[in-house]
Amino acid sequence: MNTKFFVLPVAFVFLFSACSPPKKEITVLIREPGSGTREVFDRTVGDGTSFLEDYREDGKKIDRNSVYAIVQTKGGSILSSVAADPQAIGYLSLGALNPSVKAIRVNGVYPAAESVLNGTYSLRRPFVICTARDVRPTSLCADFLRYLQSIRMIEHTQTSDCIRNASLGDSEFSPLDELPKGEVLLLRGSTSLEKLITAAAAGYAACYGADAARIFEIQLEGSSSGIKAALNDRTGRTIALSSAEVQNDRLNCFTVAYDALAVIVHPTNPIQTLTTTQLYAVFSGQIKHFDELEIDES
Amino acid sequence: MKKLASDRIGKRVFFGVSLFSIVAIVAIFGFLIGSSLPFFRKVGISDFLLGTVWSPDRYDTYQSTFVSGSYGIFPMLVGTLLSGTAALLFGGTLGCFFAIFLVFFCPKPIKRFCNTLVLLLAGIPSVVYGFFGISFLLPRLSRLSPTNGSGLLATALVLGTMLLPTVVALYRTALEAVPKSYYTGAIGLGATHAQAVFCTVVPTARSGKRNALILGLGRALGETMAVILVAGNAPTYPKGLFRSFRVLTANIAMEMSYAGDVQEGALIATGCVLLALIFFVNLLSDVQTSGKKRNEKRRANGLGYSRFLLGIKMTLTALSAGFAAVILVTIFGFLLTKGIPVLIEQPSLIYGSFRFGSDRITLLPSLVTTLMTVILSLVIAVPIGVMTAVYLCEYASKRSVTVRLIESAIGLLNGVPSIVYGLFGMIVFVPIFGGSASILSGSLTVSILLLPTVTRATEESLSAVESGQREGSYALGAGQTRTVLKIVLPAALPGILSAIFLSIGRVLCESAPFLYTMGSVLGAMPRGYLDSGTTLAAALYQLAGEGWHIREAYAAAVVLIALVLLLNLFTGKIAAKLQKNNHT
Repeated sequence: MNTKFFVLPVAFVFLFSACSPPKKEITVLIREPGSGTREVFDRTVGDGTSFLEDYREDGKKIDRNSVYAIVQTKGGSILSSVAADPQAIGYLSLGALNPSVKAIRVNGVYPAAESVLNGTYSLRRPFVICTARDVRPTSLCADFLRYLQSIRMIEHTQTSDCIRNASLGDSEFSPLDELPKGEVLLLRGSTSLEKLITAAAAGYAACYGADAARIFEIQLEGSSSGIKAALNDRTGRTIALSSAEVQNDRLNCFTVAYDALAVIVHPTNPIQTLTTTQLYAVFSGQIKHFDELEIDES
Repeated sequence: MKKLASDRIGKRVFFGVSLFSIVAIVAIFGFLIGSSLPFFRKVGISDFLLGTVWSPDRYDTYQSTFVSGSYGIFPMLVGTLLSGTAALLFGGTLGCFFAIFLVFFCPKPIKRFCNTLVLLLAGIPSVVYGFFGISFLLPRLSRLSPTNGSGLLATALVLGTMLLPTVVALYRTALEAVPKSYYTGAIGLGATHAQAVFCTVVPTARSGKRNALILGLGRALGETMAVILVAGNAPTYPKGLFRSFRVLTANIAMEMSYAGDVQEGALIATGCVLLALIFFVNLLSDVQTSGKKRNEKRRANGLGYSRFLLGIKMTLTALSAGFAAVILVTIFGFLLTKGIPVLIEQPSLIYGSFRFGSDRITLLPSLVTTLMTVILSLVIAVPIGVMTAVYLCEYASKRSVTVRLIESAIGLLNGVPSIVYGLFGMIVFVPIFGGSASILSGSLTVSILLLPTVTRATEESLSAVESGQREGSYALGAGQTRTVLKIVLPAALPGILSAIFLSIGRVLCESAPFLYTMGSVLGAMPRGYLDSGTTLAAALYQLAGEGWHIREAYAAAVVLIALVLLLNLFTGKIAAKLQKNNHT
């Protein structure tokens, strides 16, 4: 075999590697449309006149997120992507954070229980529990719903990093003499509530000394799937978990906790705070490089 | 020869069962199209197919008169076709040259190794490819990309690697089918080995190459899980090698869980578009193949011989072999070195019990779910598939319309993307069995998916049984049914067994059909078939996407790969052993 045939590929590889890498842009990470997390973010973040999710005069929905944004279906993917990329920015539930990323302040305010409850932190959403209105819940289901509205939930919200205060329900929960009879409860809905609901399920089962795996069955495929399951419920044992407000006449809903959306960047990113206007500019793609932002280093 | 009653009954029974494949494909088309009709009535077909904005509103319902969301899939259609073509350019070219290498240039000692290489590449689950893409490929591509490396190039590389085994397998068959006389004739005229191969044999196998490439494209168009992890998924055109874009399959998988009414209709309609694409690809392949039969006698073109081109082709042939080996070693090496330490450190990953509310990951429920799924789906798919193959090989006359219908149905079923199977299962099986995800629904869905695999593999092994055995049986007075049951089927047993193992491998590798029919969250041990569950591949997708448990994801990948490897090993050993028994 003639060696001159190797010249071409080798030259090509040389040229390729000699090319200077393109200027790095901000990697914008968002959730998929229909995600409760994204809905809250898109409806809150705006520059004063328009939001990331908006409606035209003719009523059609507009999505102003950058066309170059990377869409991922799980909060955890956003977490790992931001942790691996110094140019990345994303948002996810406060309870899903870990030290591999840095949460920045929004309008100068950190997401924490106080700022969420008093409204100074604007990116917040309710965690909502729904059951079908026209089907009687089984006694087991009703008992668990009672637990979810009791003061014992405060402990569970603390372990899962969401926020709850007495205004959401401060009744005492005293367990009945024995675990109510009933078939397995089906917990369906948003992945954002996973930590909270598994903690609550374990806590409830512990009240009766029972095994949570025998009482509950959890499949989390999104808020909509949970709502659908509740609407199709015929046996009174489906509980829907939604990470956004629910407006449906056929469902009984109550808020079990509040969740804050944290905006996260790589730990080496010098940014400490961004206004909602700046967030809008970044996520809509108007600003493509971090050095174009006027950073407030205070 | 007197017609025995058992023959008539046998024929009718086998015929009746083989109609199942026609029923299945008609049901899939029917339910999908039917469920998207309300959507098409609400949002016109042209707005859907040619619209350039995808911005769904999950509060859109069929009752409201105004639809505020936009449901245009044209950019994603372009994305699918473009990424498929790019994947074909990469994987198809490499695959063709690798096939040439395997058939004509592979040194005898490493031939078995190379064959195993292809089989292993074919057996790797798509989730593992996707996981390899995000953990290994993207960080390296990000040096060349303005963002994190996802986009068209990453997708083309991953998809190309996935379709390589398909192209290799099909093209190799075509190359081996070229009459030896073409090669020896060229040698006789003074050609070197390389000249004879590239100037006479390869041009003759042109139509086989085209067929292999078309079917490889079909595979790429239907791929879901791996693409979601590396493409970026912005609902827009691919605007560059490193820009986020979305394909049709990813659109369905990503938004289904949160979809409102109209949005869900749009996603099912997307499934219909995919079906139409695959139907078209199949048609292309059929037209191509029938054209080949007419042109078989055409002489190979010996003109236009150029030493330079020949040198390039030889280089590519050698490179492709090296490349395929490198890919396999990289994938296995990377995942094994990251995953095995985790397994050693935390063996409870495999046998631990699930505890509510704790952060502990255990793969045991997924392993059990996978086992349950494999058992049920085989119990359904194997009898139906074998009986269909028996009817097609033993009883049917080749020219009857029904037979052609059955064979087309099987070809179509083979091409249906796995996410479309998932949609079908979600529309049909889930509401029937309790309205919520269950292992039963998932198993039924995947058993239809297995049907073409089992049927085709059984057909091959049945036709490999020498006709002498059948004729001997007839000569001794046995009827057709008795011959089939007592002589032919036992002789075809190795092939049927390998069909079974192929199917097990398929169930292990698939995740898209299970997402909305069986469940996708790692949970407690399932108590029965009506419980939801998560197979190992779906669990890996969950862990890979989450980010909290990336180390456990590597471990899950290792377990999955280990199972696939064991299966391959087992298949090879059993097939060889039974082959030996048969020939004594």
